[in-house]
Parts: sequence; C-alpha cells; structure tokens
Amino acid sequence: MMTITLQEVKIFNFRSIKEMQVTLDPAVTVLVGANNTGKTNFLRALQIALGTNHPFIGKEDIFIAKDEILPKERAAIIDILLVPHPDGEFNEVWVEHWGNAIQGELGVKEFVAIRTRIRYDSDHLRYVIEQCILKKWPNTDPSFWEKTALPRKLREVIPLEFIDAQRDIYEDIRNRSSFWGRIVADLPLAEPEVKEIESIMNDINERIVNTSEGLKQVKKKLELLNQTISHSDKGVSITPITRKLRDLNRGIDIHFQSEGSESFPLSYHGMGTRSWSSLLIFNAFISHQVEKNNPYHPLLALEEPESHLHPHAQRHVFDQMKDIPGQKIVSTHSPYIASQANLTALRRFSRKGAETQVSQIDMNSLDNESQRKIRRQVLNTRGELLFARALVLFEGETEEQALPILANAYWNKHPYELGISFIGVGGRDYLPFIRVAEGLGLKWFIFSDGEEDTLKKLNSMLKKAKLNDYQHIPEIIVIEQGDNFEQHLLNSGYQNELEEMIKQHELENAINEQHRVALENRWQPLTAENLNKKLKEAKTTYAPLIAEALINLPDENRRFPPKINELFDIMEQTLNLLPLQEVINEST
Amino acid sequence: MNQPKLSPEQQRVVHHRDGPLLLVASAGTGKTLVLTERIRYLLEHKTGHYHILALTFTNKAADEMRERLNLDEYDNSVYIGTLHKFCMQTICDRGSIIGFDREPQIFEKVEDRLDILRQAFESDPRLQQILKENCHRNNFLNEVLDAISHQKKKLRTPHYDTALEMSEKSKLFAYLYERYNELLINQNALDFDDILVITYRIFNQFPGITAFYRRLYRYICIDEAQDLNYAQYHLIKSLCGKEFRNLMLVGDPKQAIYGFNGASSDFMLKNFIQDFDVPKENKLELTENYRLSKQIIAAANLLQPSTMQENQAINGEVKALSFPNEDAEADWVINRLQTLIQEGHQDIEGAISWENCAVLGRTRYVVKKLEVKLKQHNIPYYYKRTRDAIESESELIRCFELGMYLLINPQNRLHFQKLLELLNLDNLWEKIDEQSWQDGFEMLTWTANYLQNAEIIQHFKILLTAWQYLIGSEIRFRETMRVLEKYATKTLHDEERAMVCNDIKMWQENWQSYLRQTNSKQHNLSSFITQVALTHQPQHHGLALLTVHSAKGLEFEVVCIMGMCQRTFPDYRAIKNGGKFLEEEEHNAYVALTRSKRLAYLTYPRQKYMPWGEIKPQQASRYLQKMGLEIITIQNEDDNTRHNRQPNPKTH
Repeated sequence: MMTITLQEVKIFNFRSIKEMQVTLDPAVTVLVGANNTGKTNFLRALQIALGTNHPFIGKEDIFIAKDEILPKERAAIIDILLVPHPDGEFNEVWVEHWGNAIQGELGVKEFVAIRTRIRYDSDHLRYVIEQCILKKWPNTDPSFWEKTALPRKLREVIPLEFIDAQRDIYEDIRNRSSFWGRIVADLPLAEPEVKEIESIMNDINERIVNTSEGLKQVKKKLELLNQTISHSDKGVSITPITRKLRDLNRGIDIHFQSEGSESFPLSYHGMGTRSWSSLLIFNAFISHQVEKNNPYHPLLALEEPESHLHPHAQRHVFDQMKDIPGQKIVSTHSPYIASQANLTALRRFSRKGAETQVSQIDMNSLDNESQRKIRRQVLNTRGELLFARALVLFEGETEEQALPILANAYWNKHPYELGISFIGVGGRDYLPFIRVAEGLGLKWFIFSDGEEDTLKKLNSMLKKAKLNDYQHIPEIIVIEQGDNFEQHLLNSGYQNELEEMIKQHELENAINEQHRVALENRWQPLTAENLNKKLKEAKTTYAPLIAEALINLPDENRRFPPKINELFDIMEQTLNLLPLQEVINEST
Repeated sequence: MNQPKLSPEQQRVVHHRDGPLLLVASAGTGKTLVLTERIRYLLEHKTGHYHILALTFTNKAADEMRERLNLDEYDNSVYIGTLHKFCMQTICDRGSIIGFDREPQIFEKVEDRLDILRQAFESDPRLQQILKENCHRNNFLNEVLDAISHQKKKLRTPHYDTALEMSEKSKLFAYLYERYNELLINQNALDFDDILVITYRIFNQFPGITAFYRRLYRYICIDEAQDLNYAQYHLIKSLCGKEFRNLMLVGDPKQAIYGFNGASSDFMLKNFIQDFDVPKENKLELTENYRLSKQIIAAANLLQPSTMQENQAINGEVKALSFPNEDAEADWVINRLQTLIQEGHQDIEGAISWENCAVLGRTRYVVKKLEVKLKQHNIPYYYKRTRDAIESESELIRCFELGMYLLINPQNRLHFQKLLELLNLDNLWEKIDEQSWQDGFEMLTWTANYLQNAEIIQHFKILLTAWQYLIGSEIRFRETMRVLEKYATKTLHDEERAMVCNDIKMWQENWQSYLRQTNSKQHNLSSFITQVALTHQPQHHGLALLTVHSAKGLEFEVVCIMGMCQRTFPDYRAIKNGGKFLEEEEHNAYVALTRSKRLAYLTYPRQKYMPWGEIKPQQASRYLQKMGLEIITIQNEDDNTRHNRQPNPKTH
C-alpha cells in the first residue's frame, strides 16, 4: 500500500539538463527518447538525491553550455516533491517521521520538498552533495539555500535503487553488496547457531578433503610453504564449501529449469534470463523490506528492462515490474514496453542542442474515447513512433510505400536513421497521432490528397485538436485540385515515365524471352485515362516501382515531384536535418 | 540505560496517558525526573505515531531534559525547548503563510524599534504633521512604543476601527501600531513581543496549521507552569484548541518568581483547571522529596512551612558556622570544598568536582573576599550575573549607573523607567511625553525637580554633580568616583555605606581595566559601558559564585551560603521596608538553601571590616535560628577542629 508519491522532480544544471521539470506517475513512469537525450542523467540525478549508494560526483555532473567554461560557483540542483497518496494529508506514520518538514496547506495539500545540491566546496577542493528542505514548491531560484535540518534517514526511508542495463544475476551472486548478497547476509541466526552451523560446515570440509587423495597432497605441500614463511603450524585449510556463513552468497547458485529441459545453473543461461532474474531478486528484496519497514517508500530507477529479452518477454517483464512494490521509473527503448505504459506515465526526452527537454501528453485535454483510440491505434501498433523525432502522416497506400524510398534518396539516409516515422493512417483518423505528437513534442507533417471530402475531414480534425485550418499550417502539404498522389504525378509531367514503368512491369510478366518481345511489340501507348486506371487498380504494386522509377531518373531535378519536394523541403527546414548528424557526433 | 526507581506517586504521573494533567511539585520532589520519565514512557510505549512537545522555561532546563532522555535514541520525535524558541521555530517553519519567507530578524533594541516607528510617521503626511506639532517628539515616540508593546503583551493585533468608541489618542495609537507592524513585516523583522503575537496569530488564523501541530504533537508538557503569563498561557490554549486535552502543566506555585512579566500561578491553578475541565483525579501533587537530603528538607521546612515530605534515604548535612572574620570564613569555605573534592562524601554518589559546588551570597560583595582567595589558589570559578544586567548593588550607585546609560542614550526607556522606579517617581511616567530634552543630562536635571523624599533629593544632588563630570568632550571618571566616595563617607552609614563603597570600588576597577585596554584618545562613556558589558561574558567552568537571584533554577551537590548575618541576609533594605519585602526575603533564603541537594554550609563572620577600615560586629542571621541550626563557632582560623558549640540563640 503506497502512502506517498514522489510527484515531481525539478533539475537545474545537472549534466545535460539545464532546467527540467518532470512529473512522475505514482506507479510506473516510462521514459522514452532516443539515445543521449538525458534519460540516464535524469535517473542519475534521482540517484544522487535519494540513492542508497550515490555515485561519485565531479565537475562532469554540472551542466555546461556549448563553448562555455564551467564557472566554479555553478551548482547542480535536484529538487524533489513528495506528496501524500492519495492527495491531502500525510498519515500519522509520515507525520511522525517528518514532523515539521511537512509544508504546504496543512491538512489539505501537504508536501515535503527536498533540495539536493552539488556544489564546489572550495575549502576541500571537491564537489559535495548537500540537502535541505524547501518550504515552497516550486522554487525556481537555483541559488536558494536554507539551513534546515533534513529529515533523518531520508535515504533509508525513501531509498532509490538504481538498476542499470548491465544487471546480471550471475554477477549479483558473487557480489556481497548486491540485493542478492544483502538478502543472503540477512540471516536471523544467533551467534551460537552460527557457530554450530559453521562447525558442521568445517566437518564437511574436512571429510571432503580427507576423502580426496589429491586434496590431501595439496594440503601437505602447501603446509611446507607455511613453515618457511610464518613458522606457525596453523596449517592450510582447503574448503570445498564455504567456512563462514557470511560468505554464503558465494556458494549459493540458482538452478533454473525450463519446461522439458534439464536444470542448469544460471551461468549456463543466456543474458536474457540472467538479467530478468536479477530483477526478480530485486523484487524479492524490496518485498521483504516493505514488510519490515514503516514508513517506507522504495523507488526503483530501472534502465532498459527489455535488455536481452525477446519481444514477447518484454511485454511480460512490464507486468512483473508493475508488481514490484513502490514507485518505478523506467527508461526504455522498447516499443513493447513503452506501449504498455499508462499514457499519462510516458515522458519523452529529447535534445535541443546540448540541453535535455522533456514532454508528456496532457491528459486533461483528452476524453476517455480519445485515450482509448491512442492506445489502440497508436501505441499497440506503432509503439516505435515514441522514439521518433518526427511523424509524417498520410492516408494513401502509395505514399506509404513510396515516401520512405523517396526520402531515402532525398537525404541519402534511411528514414529510421533520421528519426522519421512514415505512418499511413489508412481509413482512420489523424487525430490520435496528432495528439501524441503534440503531447510528446514530436514534429509532425501531413501529406494529404486534395479531394474535397478529405480536406473537410482534415479541417474538422484540426479543429478538434485546437489547431488552425490546414491552409495556415505549412507542415500540411495538400495536393491541389482535388487530386491524389498518382494524379499529381500525371499532372506534373511524369506521364511518360509512369507509362514506361507500367510497360516494364507488364513485360516482366512474360513467360519467356519470345513472349516478352511479342508483348513489347504489341505495346500501345496508354491514354491518360487508362494510365490512371491502371495505376489505381494496382496501387500497392506500383507504389514502390513508381518510387524506384523516380529516383533513378537521370535528370536529378525531376526525381522529386513538386509536392514531394515541397514536403521534404519543409521537413528539412523544420527538423534541421543536417545538424542532426552533428548533434549525435557531439554527444558521443 | 538503568531506569530510575519511581515512587507510587511518581509512577502515577509517569504512566498518565490521555487527558489534562496538573502536577504541583515542590522543589526536590523529582519534578524534572517525573517529566522526563513521562516523556520516555510515552515514547517507549507508543500506541500510534506521534511526537511530544515539551516546553521549558529556560534553555538550561531544556538541555538537562534532553540529556536525561538521551535524545539521540528518540531523535526528532520529541521537541524540547523554551516557549519562545518553539514560537520562533513555528514562525520559521510556517511564517511564509503570513509573509515571512525567510527567518525574520528580531529587533530587540529600543533604537531599532524607534527607527521603525519614525518611518511609520514619515510614511503618512497626516502623521508627519502630528509628530511635527508634538513638541516632545522623543517622549511621544517612546509612549507609542510602550503602548504597542502593551497591546502585544495582551496578544492584541492592530485593529484600527473608527466605529469603536475609542479616544482620538487610542485611535491614533492603534493606527500607528498597524503601520509599525507593516513596516516591520516589510523588513522581514519582528520585535520581541511579536514572537508570541505572531505565533498566536498563525495558530488562530490557520486552523490547518494548529490541527497539524496537534496531529504531530499528541502530548504537550509545560514545565515551570507557575511562571506562565497571559500571552504564554493563551498561546498554549490556542495551540490546544477545543478538542485537544493531552496537556500537562507542571509547576510549583511556591517558586513563582517572574511576577514582573505579568506571570501568575493563577493560569496554572485556575485558568487551566477551568478551561481544560481538569478532573479531580488528574490534579496530582508530588510531596515526597528526593532531590534534597533529609537535613536540607528539615531546615527548609522550618524556614517556610511547606508540605515537603522527608527523604529518609540520604541524610546529608546542613551546618551553620561562624568565624572570627571574613578572611577566616573564606578560608574555611575553600578548605572545606577542597576536602570534599579530595575525599568525597558518603551522601554524594561518585566524585565531587568544582562544578558540583556553589558559593552563594545575598549580594555579589559577600563572595568578594572568596573570589580573591580563589584567584590566589588558582581554583577555577565563574561569577554568574542576573538577568537585568545592572552591575551595582546599592541604590545610590544603581541610580548612578542608570544615569550613565541615559547619558549615552536618552531614548533608553527601559533604564529610564527603572530609574524612576528607584526614585519612587513612577507617576512621572505620564508627564514624560510633554517633555523634550536636548540630552541625557538635561533629562536627569528635569527629573530632579519632582523628587519628594529629602534623602533622595540629597542623593540626587550629588549624583548630578557626579554625572556632570561625564559629559562633554573629556570624561573624568576618577573625579566622579571621588565625589561619590566622599559623599558616601560623609552621609551614609554601616551596610549602606559599605555597599556603596563596594560598588564604587567595582566601578573604579572597571575603569582601570578599561583604561588599560583602550587608547586614551578613544575614551568615551559609551565605549566604556560596552567594555564593561563585554568583560562579563558568561562562562560555566569551575566553582559557581552566585547571588541569590542568579542562583534561581540551578542545583548543586554542595552549597556554601556565606554572609549569613543580620542585615546582610536578610538584607538591611528588606528589614527597613518590612512587610512583603521581608516575606520575599525569607523566600530568597528558602531558594538559597534549596539550591543544595546534599550538603549546605551556612557561614558568617562575627565581625566585618567596613571599606573605610571600621570593624563592625555581626550577628547571626535570623534565618539560621529559624532553620533550627546550632551555630558552630570557629575560634581560630588556623584550627577548624577546636571549637565550642554556642547554644542556639533561641534558647536564650
């Protein structure tokens, strides 16, 4: 039962984050965004504020703008806001724990706000971490500092555990400070019991050694060594099993058996199983802690729960993660995981120059139906768009096939590389996509047919999204005079090329070379009407062919029809496409 | 931690949980023990989650409780501190709701407050006019300040309401109060009275906050409740609100001392009982005495008939001794203390250190001889000053001292008021606002016109002469002292004269030390006074030298009370004035005696050297007789063992 929530985090000058505010979901917050957009930095910031073992800090943790020399007095600030859950007043356990640190409208809207500061301490010539209570929220002045006593045991009561993508149960078993090690070390045994068990273990060791001639020899020879060095006859002991209970973690192994197979020790399993197991061990650890401690509000910062898992398991891991007690903040690159998250719990990280920005969908503006639509039409089928920079939306099937090929030729890069998702919405609505894009700060473009009906629908959609008519939105490209894409090509003087393409395609249907020659000889030039008809009949067949034909034109100026040119042009301007390459280079 | 054994009557208090509780506990009945043990009990046997609020009267008492509780264990789940500290904390924690974003600054000085008031006048043309027309500007300002302070002590916030039937003056003052407070708040400042007023306002105006405090502090305990005043009591009452009943007041009406502050044990004995419906079974009293040894209780009970029950466990020691002179008296005291520290005492657990011992005198001069000898013997000691920070003991030199403060700062109302009280001119207070003076000396001269008493007129005449040497560019402190000394020799007698001479000597020493520490070009009266104040920084290491007044609230294993002779203790002034003064003096003797937990030695010299060389025979204090003590007469300072017992004077 959760009784509080880490509701909001505000960060100034931390690593790539100049200034950022993120609200968190009471259950699971999912951070998405391309690589190097600051997701991990955000989790690290939380770790510095609440982590049970916070990492080493240094000047690299302070934000610097491009071409800037770090001013010594600049401090990184991580503000966190803790509120009762459900809203209102803290229960008596938290009141007892925090006492007068509780702020806000008491009894109505209580909160505890804690500022963490990473500051250069010129007396000790190093960066230090300090914490104080904030009486007001938000406090937008990064230089504000108050000498207030921090609630004690902050990191014990609201511990944040950071689990990075490199987790591995095999490593955990060998590490005494891992969750595994901590569980194993927590044996409620009294001293005499420990002694008794250890003496039994010694007996076992002796028995094993005594039965092995080889080990006996080893022991004997090693004792010679001992004599020359220390003159003591304490002897050498060889312990096939551990001698001390506290080293138990070293000896324990987990055997994992999948259906119909032999049971294998974990080290024989693949990284997927090992990574996943590590997470399950964490669940065991936290579940145990929840029973022992009150007040207690564990936080889990988890990087890439999907790592090494196949898509189906990725969906499954999300469910298991939800079961871990406490509040979870998860960064992911998996559309399967992102798409399972609560819409309100999605945070998209992006970069503007050297700075991290974060956006989320404003749910207040969406009714249940819209939310359902987004889930069904966007997340379940096109989860990957959460990781894109821009969406290009259109209805036609031709466009769906042709646009990526044309774009590839235009920028000489695959659209995925550019972070562009081309999405054919088919007979459905643009609206859910627009809402997701607007909320998450994705750029979007529409490439629309010019039919009267289509345009009417388009404008009514824009109205619902509280946007201008399409005429006033340069990112919406509309084919003129009621035309569709094919007609646009015909009207733009590509008649010959299209005819040639159809001809070549039909000739390919020839059974043999003779047949082909015959067909070619019989070929009659097509009327505009027929051409159009043929194109319409086999849209999906011709779409890639059209694209291929266009990009192979010898005249470079004719490779991209006017409306396509118009679309790519506005995309290039808006997305600043060339500099994208630079951003990536700079950050790596 | 080993739990102290509790008597059944103590246990009843310790195990009390919900509901109001009044505990009357006289000195030594284990009041602090019971209070801390109750807090410990509430912390260790928790049902639910809560903190405890314990308010004490002094920081020292808070420290002691904290130490006894071993607070690390309970960390922040109990707040122990003075009411003022708690209020200050509340303003810091919650003040933003009424505009205090940062910790407010406290304006304690009259000058700072006057500045604010002047700004208030300047901010409004109408007020500017009023001030301009008033020919006694400074007095008028002071009067306003007093009126504001008076309102605040009654927890009244400014309410400028013309509809009320108020005199023009009251209306003006109310308006000024409002403007004054606005200006304070704009500067993020408070005056001292405000600390309670503002907290009271927060508690009343924001029920959410008070409700939160009641959620947080399920139990509230108030120590030394006999000294609660109007503002303090009502503040606590407003914190408790209508439904909160877990309030415990602990006090000893017999020890009420802060009467000047508007304090009254009525708040504890009457208002609390009534306001919180304290049932009969929750009115408890501790009578068994534990702190004090059997001997001390016996003597104290004789001095002030009280219901203190005897402590049979520890016998202790109370002895009265007389010595040929003050030197012998001081020698014996040092000797006795050294012996105790070396050898210990069967009635005192563990070793005795200088910190466990104190020497008391009715006035600071009683221990003067001792102080010199302590210095010679290199024995660590400190002298503890009283709260009012007036240096002199005799009336004449107190007047002189107060006059010096007024010469430095004629706006100093606090000291002017004290001076008028000393001169029996309280009624003059009203006339002050009609006056304006160029400087302090003119102010003092003006005061002289109203003196009635012939003796005081004579005193004052000489004081004016003395003060005159202190004004102008060059101060002639030595002349001043000479004038006063001459006058004392000529007109004063006996104790009065001795007291004045001692005071003069002290001021001369102060002056000497000032001269040694400053460049002659920088000499001026105000730097001199500052220097004097600075050299008396409190420290607490070694043997405590105390006056009866500065000993309040302190406890020691061993206490020597020196100068237990007539006209010293009781003081000659109390004898002269009689009546309630004499009553209070007996109270003082009771307090002095009960500062000791185990051993008390009451000593006096059979003769005293007056500062002018005369030898005056001394008689045993009437209190020694009242305490039923046999006086051991020490004949020869070299031999403490050979003495004969003088029969109790009572049997004569």
